[in-house]
Formats: sequence, C-alpha cells, structure tokens
Amino acid sequence: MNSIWREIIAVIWKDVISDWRQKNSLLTTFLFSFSVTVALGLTTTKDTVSPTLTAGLLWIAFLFTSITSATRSFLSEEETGTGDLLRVLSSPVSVFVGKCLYHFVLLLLTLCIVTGLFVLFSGVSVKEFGLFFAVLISSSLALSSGIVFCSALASKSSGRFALAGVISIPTLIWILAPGITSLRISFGAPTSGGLESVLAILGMGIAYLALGILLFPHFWKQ
Amino acid sequence: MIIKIFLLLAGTGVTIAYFLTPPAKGFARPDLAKILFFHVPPAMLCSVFFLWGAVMGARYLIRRNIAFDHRSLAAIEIGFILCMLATLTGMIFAKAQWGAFWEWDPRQTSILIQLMIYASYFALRHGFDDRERMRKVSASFAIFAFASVPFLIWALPRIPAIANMSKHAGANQAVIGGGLDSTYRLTFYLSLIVIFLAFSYAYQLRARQSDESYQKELEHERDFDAGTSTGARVVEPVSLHTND
Repeated sequence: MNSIWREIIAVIWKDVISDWRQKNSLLTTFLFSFSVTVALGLTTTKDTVSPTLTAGLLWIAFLFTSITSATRSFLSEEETGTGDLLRVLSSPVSVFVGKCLYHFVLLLLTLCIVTGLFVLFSGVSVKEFGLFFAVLISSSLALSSGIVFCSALASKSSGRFALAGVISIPTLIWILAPGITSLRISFGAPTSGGLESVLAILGMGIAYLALGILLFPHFWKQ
Repeated sequence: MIIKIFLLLAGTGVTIAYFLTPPAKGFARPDLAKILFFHVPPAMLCSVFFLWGAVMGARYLIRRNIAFDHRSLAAIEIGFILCMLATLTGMIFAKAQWGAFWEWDPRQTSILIQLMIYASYFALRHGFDDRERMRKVSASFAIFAFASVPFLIWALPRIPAIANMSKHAGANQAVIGGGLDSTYRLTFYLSLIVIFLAFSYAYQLRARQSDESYQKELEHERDFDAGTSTGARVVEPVSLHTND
C-alpha cells in the first residue's frame, strides 16, 4: 500500500486506540450531545413542532456537539505531548487527513445518535431518508475538516481551547443556512432546494479539506 | 500631500453628487435609498481587500518575508473596516426600506458572518507569544477564511430556498442588472472609485507603519546586543578574567 495511506491509517488507529483506552473524550462527546438533545427536546415538550423549527433546533445541537468533539483533535495532542511524536513520525498531510477522517466518522456517528434521540423526544419523523443522510454526511465532512483545521491553528496558542472555539464558530456558522434548509425538507417541509443546499455544504467541505491539506504543512512543523 | 488633497476633493465631489442626485425610484423611501452610494461600494471592496490579504498571506508562507505579513494584516484590517461600514449602512438602508434594522436577509446574514470570521482572525493573531508562529498561523487563516467569502457572497444568497427570503432582489437588479439611470450610475461608480482610492491609500499607510515599527524594533535589538542602546541595561557584561 502507498506509504501515505499507511501513515493515515496509523494516525486514525492511534486516535481510535487512545480514545478507546481513555474513554473520557468519547464519553464527554456523547454525554454532551445527549444533554443538548434533552434540553432541546424539553423546549418542544411533544407540542407539534414545525419542520423548520425542528431543523433549527437540531442544527444548534449539531454545531455545538461538533465543536466540543472535534476541537480536541489537535489540542489534546499538545496537552499530552504527543504532538511532537506525530511531527517526527508522520508527514503533515497524513496527520491532517487522518485526523479529518477519524473525526468525520466520529461526527457522523454522533450526529446520527443526536438525531435519533431528538426524533424520539420531539415526535418528529423523517420523510426523505435519502436527503436526510446526504445532509448528515456532507455536514460531517464540512464540520470535521473545518474544525480540525481550526483546532490545528489554535493548538500552540495561549488559551487554545477557547481560541479554537472562537475561530471555529464563525468559520462554520454559514452551514446553518443550507443545513437547516435541507434538513427541514427531509422532515417534510413543502419547499425545494434540498439538493442544492447539500451540494453547497459538500462543496465547501471538500474546499476546506483541500485547503487544509495545502496549508497545514506550513504551520505544523516547528 | 497631493494625494491627500486629491482624496479630499474627490470625497467632497462624491458628497455633493449624493445631495444633487434626485431621490431613487422604486424604493419604499426614495430619499434614503441614496445610501446605496455608500453601502454597495464598501460591500464590494471589502472582499477585494480580504482577497489581497489572502494573497499576501500566501506570499508570506512561500517567501517568509515579513513585509508580506504586514501587508496581509493591513489588507484585512482595511477590509474589516469596509465590512463594518457595509453592515452599518446596510442596517440604515434596511430600517428605511423594510422597517427594521435587521431582517435576516441572506445578504445581511452573509456580511455579518464575514465580519465574525475576520474578527476571529484578530483574536487568533493575538493568541501567540511566538511571533513567527503567529505569522504562519495568521497567513494560513487569512487564506482559509477567504474560502468562505465567494460562497457567502455568491453561492449562499442564490440557493433557491434561501434566495426566496431575500429582500435584495429589486436592489440587485437596479445596481448590478443595469437598472440605474445615467446620473445614478455615474455617482455610484465615482463613489466606488473614490472609496477604493481612499482605502488603498489607508492600506499603504498602515503597511508602511508596520514596516517602520518592525525596523525600529530590529534596530533597538541590534543596539542592545552591541551595547550601544540607550535603554536601561538589565544585564551587565561580566569579565571572565580575574585579577590575581
């Protein structure tokens, strides 16, 4: 296999093993997403909620869950001192792509769980499953690549956790507009434009990934 | 000096033209719609300066010449000021035409998000003690942040479900679609050129100021190392020879 893919898989596997061993980061992510979903579910309390409001509330949960989970991608490496090991052992591109892929999968799982719980608590149902999963996949890509890049930028700063959040939120808040549009259509809202919104999110996700691969090596090495 | 006089005269000319043009047709408040002359040019030009900031950031990453970092910062600062002006004048226009300062119109929302993204650039820039790392990270973020600008300006307001919420359709047709009559078109382009020249001059002054303060810092450090600095000595040189 190509050596770069071997390095990418090694980075992914390292994150899987370290998160599985320590479990606190995975637990934090899932508990936070569960708490946010319960809080949002309480606001609706089984009253009939429009697809637009449902999509909006769900997207708030998506955004804050993804920021909580993905910002620790590089911040935890600097906290535990394993960042220098990654610099020595792997190329910058494989580190960045590995981190993005790992957090893409983790975020996709988390968003599926959040949506499942929200559907359970609010009583809303998904009408268009194809569009719904397309939204989740494209959003996970855009959110993971954007937040992982912002986390890498802030990893060596003072106040890194706060700074990573401060730069991630504005960089990704645009996703709410097409995300809510496509999600509410999947919940049955009688509007068009779902596919265009998904394509917009997917396009930006690919752009963030490509830019991250180009720019990351410039500031990753000491 | 000549440039300053020219800009003052040009600015005065645009202001006089603003008062001389008749109220705009087709708007809810025709007399207040003329704020377009001071709203649309900053909205267009802020993206130009953000692009220049990204280009200078890329040049810094390739050449590692600090002058490019200063130019990137200056361009983004000027772009941020223009973005703020566009947001504020847009709010005045919204209140006059649509009855509320904020309507969550797609273009209003886009410019607000742009403002937030570049505000976070400044937060990022001040978060590092190591200046070289700060420059590399800032340059990378300047390029990364600009990726969202074409999306926010062109793509997002055109997504069908979002475009339906837009209140800008008529104004877009008037300004970009050739709906302005000749007097308005002349005043609009004059305003665009004058604002561009004024802020380009401000950009050059800012970049030069950064270069000069960096040079002063370097000279101070050189003087301190050579022992010719007039600053208070913290560490006194010690002779290694003892007089036995």
